[in-house]
Amino acid sequence: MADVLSAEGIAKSFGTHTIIRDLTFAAHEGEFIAVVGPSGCGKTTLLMCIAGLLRTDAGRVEFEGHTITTPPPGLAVVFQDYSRSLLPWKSNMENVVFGMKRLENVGSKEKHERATEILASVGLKGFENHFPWQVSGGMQQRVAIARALGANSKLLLLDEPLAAVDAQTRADMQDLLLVLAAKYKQTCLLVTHDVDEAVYLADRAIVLSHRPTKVIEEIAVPIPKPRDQIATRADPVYLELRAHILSRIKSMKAAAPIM
Amino acid sequence: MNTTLRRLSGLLLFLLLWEGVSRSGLVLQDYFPPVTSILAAMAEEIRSPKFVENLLTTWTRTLGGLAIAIALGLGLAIVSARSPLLRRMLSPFVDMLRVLPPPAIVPLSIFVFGIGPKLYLFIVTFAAIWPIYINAVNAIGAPEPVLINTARSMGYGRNEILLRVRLPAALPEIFTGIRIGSGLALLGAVASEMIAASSGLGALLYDAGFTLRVKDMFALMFFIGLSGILLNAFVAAVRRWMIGWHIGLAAMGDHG
Ligand SMILES: Nc1ncnc2c1ncn2[C@@H]1O[C@H](COP(=O)(O)OP(=O)(O)O)[C@@H](O)[C@H]1O
Ligand SMILES: [Mg+2]
Repeated sequence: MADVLSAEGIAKSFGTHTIIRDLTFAAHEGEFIAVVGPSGCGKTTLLMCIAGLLRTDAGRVEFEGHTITTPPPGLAVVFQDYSRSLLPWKSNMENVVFGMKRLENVGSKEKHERATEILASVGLKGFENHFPWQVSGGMQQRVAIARALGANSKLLLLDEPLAAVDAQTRADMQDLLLVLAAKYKQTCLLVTHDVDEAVYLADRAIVLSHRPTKVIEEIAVPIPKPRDQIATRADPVYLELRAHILSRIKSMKAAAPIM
Repeated sequence: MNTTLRRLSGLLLFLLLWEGVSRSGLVLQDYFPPVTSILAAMAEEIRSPKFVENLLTTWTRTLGGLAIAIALGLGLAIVSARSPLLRRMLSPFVDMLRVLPPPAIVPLSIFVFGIGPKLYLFIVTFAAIWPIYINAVNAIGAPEPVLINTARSMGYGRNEILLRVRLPAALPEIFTGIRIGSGLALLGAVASEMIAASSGLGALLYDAGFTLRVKDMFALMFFIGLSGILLNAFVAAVRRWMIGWHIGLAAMGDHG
């Protein structure tokens, strides 16, 4: 499997605050990676560096063989603050079409057809002509996901997409994400502070330390797909990995009492 | 509906009080005519084609100058948003010019433009442009960061982001500027007409005051006030049409 994305020794500081220190990992094609780390450790900063929206101080991010300096084609982001990332003067449909900027050879009619199809696949059939502010927070998030998928990208970066939703919606959205990742052949990099979510979704989990953050462990999650909210969560492998990651994070906390 | 009624009832009460005081003999009716006689004077004026022509002249000057102020103000704001250096260089001039009352620039403007349509358009534009420019430049310059990052990650360049994201996102505040500017435009039109014109409501008002036609003077003041109300309603209608999304969003509480 080829590496779609690789980060090599990246570092990032804001003034005298070092946020990321020497962080290295890679994502293979078609993989679902969950990056799990405590709140405030620098997960959003890491995603922004990968997306080419922030410059790293050191190290290199490579996407499909090219070093990233500006936002590259083929990479889409669903921001943590997804509801503010939607253009309130455009309908849900037009928001998805707006994300298709790089599909230069595709006509407007075709873009709209594609947007309709993707909105349906995230469960928003019938809400195409609503404005984002006319639908619930959960639906806004699905618009943001649909918009990222519409760009026809290979790599999808998701910044804590489910942090703000209720438990039932979260479970539904997790399953929807897995379905969409398979259907649209996405390599996914999802950032979360929720260990259960990371193990449930991921083919591989990357555990980050407190700030300044670095990778403290990479763990493969050898649970077959499709996953199931009841069966997977009762799987001994799931339980063992979850316990392992939690204990790693706990021991890290003990070692860093300032947090 | 309810608020409209309440607002109208307040106005009605005020006019009734006026009528009563004027007719009571407590004040000199010559200087403080009853509302009914002012309304009669207004009715008479509106029937005269000459008056209607003057009314339309003032409206044309106001709307023309306002249109120029919007175009120039927004154009300048967009260029300033693109160039922080220009914005910083303009800022002291803006702060100085925006506090100059429109009548204060009439004499100098007469040297430059002579007396004619260009003069009135210039004064109106000058009166209206500052709030439009200031609101626009501030709003365009302080966009929602997530919105910018979103557009950047999709591959939009700086100019596209300016025109397709920052400008539409700034429209609610731009309309606030236009609303303030439209009032100042009418003010500029009437003021310049009072000083330097033989046509328009301002010129008629000056004439009526000078020749002690008190009833006509009040009637003209009413017409100017009425023009202001109409102009405000017009701007509000355009705003509703252009940024209905913002009004809907505000009515929903916040964005989510
Ligand atoms: N633009 C910035 N300037 C200065 N500090 C920042 C900036 N962005 C983030 N930080 C700081 O970096 C740290 C990590 O932030 P973030 O990446 O958002 O963490 P996480 O997403 O893991 O919660 C925080 O302490 C935050 O205050
Ligand atoms: Mg974050």
